[in-house]
Amino acid sequence: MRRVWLVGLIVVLLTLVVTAGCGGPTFKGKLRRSVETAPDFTLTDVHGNPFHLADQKGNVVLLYFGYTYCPDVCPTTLGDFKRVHTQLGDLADRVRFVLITADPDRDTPERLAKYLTFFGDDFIGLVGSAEELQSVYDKYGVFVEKQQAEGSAAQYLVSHTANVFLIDPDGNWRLVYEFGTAPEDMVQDITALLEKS
Amino acid sequence: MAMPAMGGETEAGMEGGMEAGPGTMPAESGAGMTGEIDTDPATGATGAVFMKLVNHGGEADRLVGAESAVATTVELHQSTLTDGVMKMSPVPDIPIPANGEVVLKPGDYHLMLLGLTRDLNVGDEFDVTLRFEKSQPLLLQVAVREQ
Repeated sequence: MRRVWLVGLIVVLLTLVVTAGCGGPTFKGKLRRSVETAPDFTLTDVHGNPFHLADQKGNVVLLYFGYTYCPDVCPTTLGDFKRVHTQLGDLADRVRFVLITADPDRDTPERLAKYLTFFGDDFIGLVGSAEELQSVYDKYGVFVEKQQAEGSAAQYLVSHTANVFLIDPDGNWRLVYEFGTAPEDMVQDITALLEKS
Repeated sequence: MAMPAMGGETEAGMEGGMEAGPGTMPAESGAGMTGEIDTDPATGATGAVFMKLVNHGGEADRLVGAESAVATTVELHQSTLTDGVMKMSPVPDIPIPANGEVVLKPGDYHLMLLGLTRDLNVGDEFDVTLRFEKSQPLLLQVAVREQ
C-alpha cells in the first residue's frame, strides 16, 4: 500500500515538473484565454492624424481607456505608464502608450494633448466620433457609461473599465493588467516580449 | 484640466482627536500638473486629494465635508472597482472607526476638487479644511507632488 502511494506521489510530482517547464515565459499580466490578433481600429490622434492599430506591429502597445476629468484613477494609471516608460529606458522606443478617451464630449484633441504632456511627451491620445469610439470599446469589451452624479457639482462622471491592455509586437492582444498593477510588472512583461521579438 | 493626486500633511495633530497625514502611498504618488483656471463648477478642472485620517478617539467619527480656497467645491467621493469597471460616486461622508484610520487613495475614497480657482503645479501647497461629525475641524496642508 505504501509503495503504491509513493509511486503515485512521484508520478504527480514529475507531471507537475514537466508541465511547469512548458509554455514559455510566465507573465505578470493576465494572459488572455485565447491569444489572437488584436481587433484593429483606426482613430484620430491629438494632431489630427489617423492612428491604425495594425501599423504598430513590431512595437508593444499599452491601451488604456480613460478621460481627462477623471480625478484619481486615470492620472494614477498614466502615472504608472510614466514610470514604466522611465524604467524601460531605451526599450521605451518600442512601446506605444495609448489613451483612448472615454469622454469624447469633453476631451477635445487640445485638452487631451495638454493632459498627456504631464505624463509623457510621446504618449498617444486618441479621439473619434461617438460611433467610432463605441466600436473600439466593444471590440475590447470596455464598459463606458456617463453617470449623472446625484449630489455632485460635477457635470457628469464616467464609469469605465480601468484595465490596461497589452498588444505584443506580433499584433496579438496578449495580456490584461488590472487597475493598480505595479509598473515593475508591466516592465517585466514588456521586456520579455520585446527581447523575444 | 484633470488634477494630480495630492497628499496632505496636517499642521496640528490633536490629542484624542483626529489626525490627518500622508496616505500610505508610494512617495512619488501625487501628480504635478497645471490646472486650467475655470471657476465654473459644472465644467471646471478636477483634482483629487489623498490622505490618511487617524482617529485617536474612542468614538467612531465621520468626515462630513471639506473646503478649500483653490476649488469652488470640494466633495467626498468613493471609487469602486467591480469586474474591472471603475465607478466613482459622491458620498455624504467617510467613516473613520474609533481608534482606527481610513486611507483616501486612488481607486478608493478621495476628496474631489471641482472648479479649480487657480493653477496648481508640483510643489504648490494649499490648505483644505476638513469637517467632521464629532471632531473639531482640521486644517490640512496639501502638497502637490509629482505623479
